[in-house]
Amino acid sequence: MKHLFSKKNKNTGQLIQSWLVFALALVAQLSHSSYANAQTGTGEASIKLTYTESNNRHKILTATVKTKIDDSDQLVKGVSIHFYNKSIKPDQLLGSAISNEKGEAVLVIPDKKLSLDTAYTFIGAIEQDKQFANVQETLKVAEADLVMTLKTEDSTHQVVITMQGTDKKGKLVPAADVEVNLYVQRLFGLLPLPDNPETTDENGEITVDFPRDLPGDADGNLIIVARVEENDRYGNLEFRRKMNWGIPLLIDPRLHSRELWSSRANAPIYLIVLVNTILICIWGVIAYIVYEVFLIKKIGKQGSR
Amino acid sequence: MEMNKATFSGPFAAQAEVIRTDLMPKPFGLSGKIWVVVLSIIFLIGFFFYTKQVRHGLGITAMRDYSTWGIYIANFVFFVAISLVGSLISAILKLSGVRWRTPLTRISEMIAISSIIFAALVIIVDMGRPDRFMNVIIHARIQSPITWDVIVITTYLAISTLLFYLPLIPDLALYRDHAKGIPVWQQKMYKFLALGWNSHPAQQAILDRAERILAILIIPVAFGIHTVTSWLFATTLRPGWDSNDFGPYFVSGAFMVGAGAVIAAMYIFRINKHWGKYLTDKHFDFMAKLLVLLSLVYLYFNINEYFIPAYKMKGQEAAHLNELFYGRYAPLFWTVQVFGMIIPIIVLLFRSGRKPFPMFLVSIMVVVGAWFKRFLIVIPTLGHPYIPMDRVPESWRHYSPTFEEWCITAGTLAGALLIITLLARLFPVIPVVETIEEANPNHHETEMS
Repeated sequence: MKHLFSKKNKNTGQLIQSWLVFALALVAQLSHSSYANAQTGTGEASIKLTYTESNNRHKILTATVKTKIDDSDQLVKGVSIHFYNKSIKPDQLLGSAISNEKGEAVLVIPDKKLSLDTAYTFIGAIEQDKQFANVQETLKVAEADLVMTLKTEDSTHQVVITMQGTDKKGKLVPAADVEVNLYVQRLFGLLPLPDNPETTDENGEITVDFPRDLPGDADGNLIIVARVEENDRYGNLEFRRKMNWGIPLLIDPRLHSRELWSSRANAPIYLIVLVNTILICIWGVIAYIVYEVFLIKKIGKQGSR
Repeated sequence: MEMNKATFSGPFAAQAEVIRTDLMPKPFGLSGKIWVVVLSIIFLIGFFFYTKQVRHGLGITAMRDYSTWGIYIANFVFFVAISLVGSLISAILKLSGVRWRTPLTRISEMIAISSIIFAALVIIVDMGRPDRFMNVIIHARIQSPITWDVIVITTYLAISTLLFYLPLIPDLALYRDHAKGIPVWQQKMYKFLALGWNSHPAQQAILDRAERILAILIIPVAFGIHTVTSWLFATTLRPGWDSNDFGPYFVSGAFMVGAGAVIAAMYIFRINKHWGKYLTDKHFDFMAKLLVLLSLVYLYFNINEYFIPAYKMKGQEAAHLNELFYGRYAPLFWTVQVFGMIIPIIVLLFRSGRKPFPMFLVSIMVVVGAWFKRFLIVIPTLGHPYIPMDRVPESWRHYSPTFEEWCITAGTLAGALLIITLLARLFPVIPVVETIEEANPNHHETEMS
């Protein structure tokens, strides 16, 4: 042992030590990759990435995950999607989300994580998933500004939509020829106003006369929605505003009274009493007959003794 | 037991023994086995397609936004209708003191129980999400006729089961004590269900009282079940359904089809079990006269239902009636009216038409006609909403049941027949003790006195 650590053998010892370290590192690397391979599935999935900006504040990335089953696309639930910002080097992880039953993984990008830029390149990726092989989708969107102003001129309500993009210097400039949809929020969906989308003029503006006959809530409030939908350059932009341009909804007090057409909780008293009385009477008699059946059995037992 | 012993040991013993042996449930013969296998196959095919419907949803049916009710609901109404026969024979004829009803009571109760069970099941079949069935009960609106229907079906099933079971107790005791060569499980079942019956006067008094109470109770419930079913339609504002006398129209039609079903079953049992001396030509003759009476009442309501609106021909009602009288549904409508009602009435008016075999054919016409009549009540109306169909796919405008719907419906009909077959295999189809008592000359003397 002694000579092993002698000066002559010192270099040999260092060599062996280096080889050992290398071998251990190699084993560790191989085991890691084999572990990673064991964790990564072989299924094929596809990702559709969409970008939505709401009221120029909330930036939302949505990845829709699909896979082919029997030659048809099926939405996939429970897949973890990692979202990156590729606009800066190295790629910045914005966050992760798991797909829901609609196959959608939704990430609201935290304000602090995304510095203002003229354009963004986002990546949505499946990485080391147990079910699916690694896959990623890239989306480029330009920074834009969608603003909706509401005004009344000569007793006509008007919605003015202004769409602005950014030039190379990052300055906001009017965005012409962009299709914008205008809607009013209804109970089960959005009512388009007008039927087809309008296109912005050279000033990036659209002006739409707003109808006066739409029913609103009890105070006449309506939620007006302007949307740029699936635009190749800007993605999805949305601007919502609440305005009391609707007809106040007067709720018929009879809806809260006890009537045949009212809700379950407002059933007429006479009907509740009538139905329950009939039920108690008839089922009371049935119960009495069942009791009589037991009496027959009881008498039978006594008779057999 | 004392009564049984006395019956089988007195001078009338030999005849009583013959009746007991004749009416005892027997294992299936070859034809019975084939019948059960065929019904089971049809039922299983229906069940298979139902599992497909559960997996894929009601999209596999032809029901769409306008025709939201299809043959499932027509089938439901048919089952409810046919079940009313239990109250007709077991209650109305019993309380009227009609003596010839004795061999028919249990047949009618078997039909009633099997039909009402499948009426309830068909409602679940019609649900796109059967896993949410309990919501119908948990979130029931007491103002809704659907809630009333759920209540009244459950009640009718309970009363029908009791009305089937209570008169069966003396017969079960008879076979408990006298049946030989039957499997042990069947003996045990008879013993359990006979409730220690020993013909004690106190037991007999309780049984008589209970049967009388049930016979009275089932009449309003029976009228209720089919009236409420008619209200499912009549409480909606639709051409063809917006009628004030839908309740009696449904009830009269139900009694008619029920009587037809009993006649068909009587004939099959008579032939299959050689029961010519129990289900006599006289029984058929009485049932034929009853069926004619019920058919005439139903004809009267049909005249009111179709010809009075046809006299006015207003709005969408006219479109609906034109489609029935001359349009798409005319061949079916007139076939049902003529072969399902008019011809049976004419045939049964003649003495030769009231013989068992012609009556069997007539009863089949009545029952099949009644099923398609429910189809004509439910489906054509849905094709004529008051707000016209506009910009809808072509498939929404017309309803033609899909192959899966036919299979599932056939499965439910086979299932109902299977229940009747099973009940007839396990329990005496004709009340044995009552038949023995009525055949005993001393019994008549006692009754007369």
